[in-house]
Amino acid sequence: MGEKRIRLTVFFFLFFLSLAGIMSDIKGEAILKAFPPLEWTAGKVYLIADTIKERGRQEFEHLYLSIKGHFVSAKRLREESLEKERLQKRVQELTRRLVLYQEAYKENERLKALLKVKERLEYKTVGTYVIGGNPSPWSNTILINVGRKDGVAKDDPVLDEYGVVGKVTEVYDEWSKVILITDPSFAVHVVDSRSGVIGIVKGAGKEWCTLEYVVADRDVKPGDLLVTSGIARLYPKAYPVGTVEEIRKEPGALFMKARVKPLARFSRICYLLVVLSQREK
Amino acid sequence: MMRWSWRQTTLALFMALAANGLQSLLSPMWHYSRPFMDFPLLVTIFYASLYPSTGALLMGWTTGLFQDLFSGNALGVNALAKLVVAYLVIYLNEKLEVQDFLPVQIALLVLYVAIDGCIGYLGVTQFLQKTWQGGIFSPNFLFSMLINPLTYLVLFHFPARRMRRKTLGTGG
Repeated sequence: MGEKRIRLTVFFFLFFLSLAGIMSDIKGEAILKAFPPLEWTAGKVYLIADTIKERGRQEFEHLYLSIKGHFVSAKRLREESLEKERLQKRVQELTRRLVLYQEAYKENERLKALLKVKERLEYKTVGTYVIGGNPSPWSNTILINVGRKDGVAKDDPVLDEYGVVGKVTEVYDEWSKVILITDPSFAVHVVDSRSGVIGIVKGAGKEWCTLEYVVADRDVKPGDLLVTSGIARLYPKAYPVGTVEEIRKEPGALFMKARVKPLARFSRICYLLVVLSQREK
Repeated sequence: MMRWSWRQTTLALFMALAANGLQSLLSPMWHYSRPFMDFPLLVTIFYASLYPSTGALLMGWTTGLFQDLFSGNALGVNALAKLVVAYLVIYLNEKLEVQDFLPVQIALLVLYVAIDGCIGYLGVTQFLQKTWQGGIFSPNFLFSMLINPLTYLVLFHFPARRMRRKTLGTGG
């Protein structure tokens, strides 16, 4: 009998045996129950297998959870990193906005102060802001964004919320040139608000002015506030110009000389008022 | 005529038991809707390719029988299936004069998984009213058709090839 024939015989034998098993629906349990020692052995085998299985399952779960945990941690770390980056950007943005709001608040305060000045004045005024020039100790002129079209004329006073800034020297259609109070060619008639002594404040260069043409024995003291006299009706009456800082009286001289600190804030000039001198409200 | 040695018998029994042990150990993690591994099938194909003889038929049948016994199926379902697979492997091994038998093994493996999936699909759909779960069209089933051949390559084919090379030498 050849190998092939044996194989085929075995195949068909096993084939029909399997079919018989399927057809009769014999379950493993039935066979085991039919042979008690086999059932006992199978029980032991199942017990061992179940123990191994349970142990394996636990180990597998542990391994799975640890791997998953690792990936979850990595994912969370990445998300937190992204969140941190996002929050940093947010902080930068908010800081930038805060600075802008602070600037806007300061600007608002200054504009409100300037508005109060405008309401207090008897003359018509026009608001403006600096567009050029450098209000530094070495440069005593600035450019403003109003001109002839806005009604500005030569010699119109320019004020900020603290005091006299200067006057218009050159007028163009849309802009004007302003000479500052500290320029040597600038002069304004003032009165001491405490004693009523009158004099002329002239620019002395840098950040200073001088009070001139005041007789030496007049009552002027350091700290006195000098305001515009309004005599020439060029400047509004009683608008602050500066404070007396130092008085120098030379023996035999007819007039005293006083150093005056202007009240206008040249280092922070931004918004200004131009007084249209010839036109009352 | 190929002699059936004690070594082969021991190896066959060990492989059949080991495959079924592994199968029953891992089967609780599987579900009809998840990728499914069939270790007894891999062992049957491998053994029948290694020793294409009547013993391989017996080994395949025994492996299937163990599978039925462990899984609680009616005795004979998997035994019959593995018997047919073993017979086909032996038959094709004799009939086809090919240099590399691996593609045939893989084809048989995929075919078996496909048929198994179809039968499973038909069985499952009686309960699930032909829903998308399970069945031959689910991604899990397609994944099963991939994972079984890959496991075969890793667990059986490559180690066997390495052993064969070791035995024969690199030549030259």
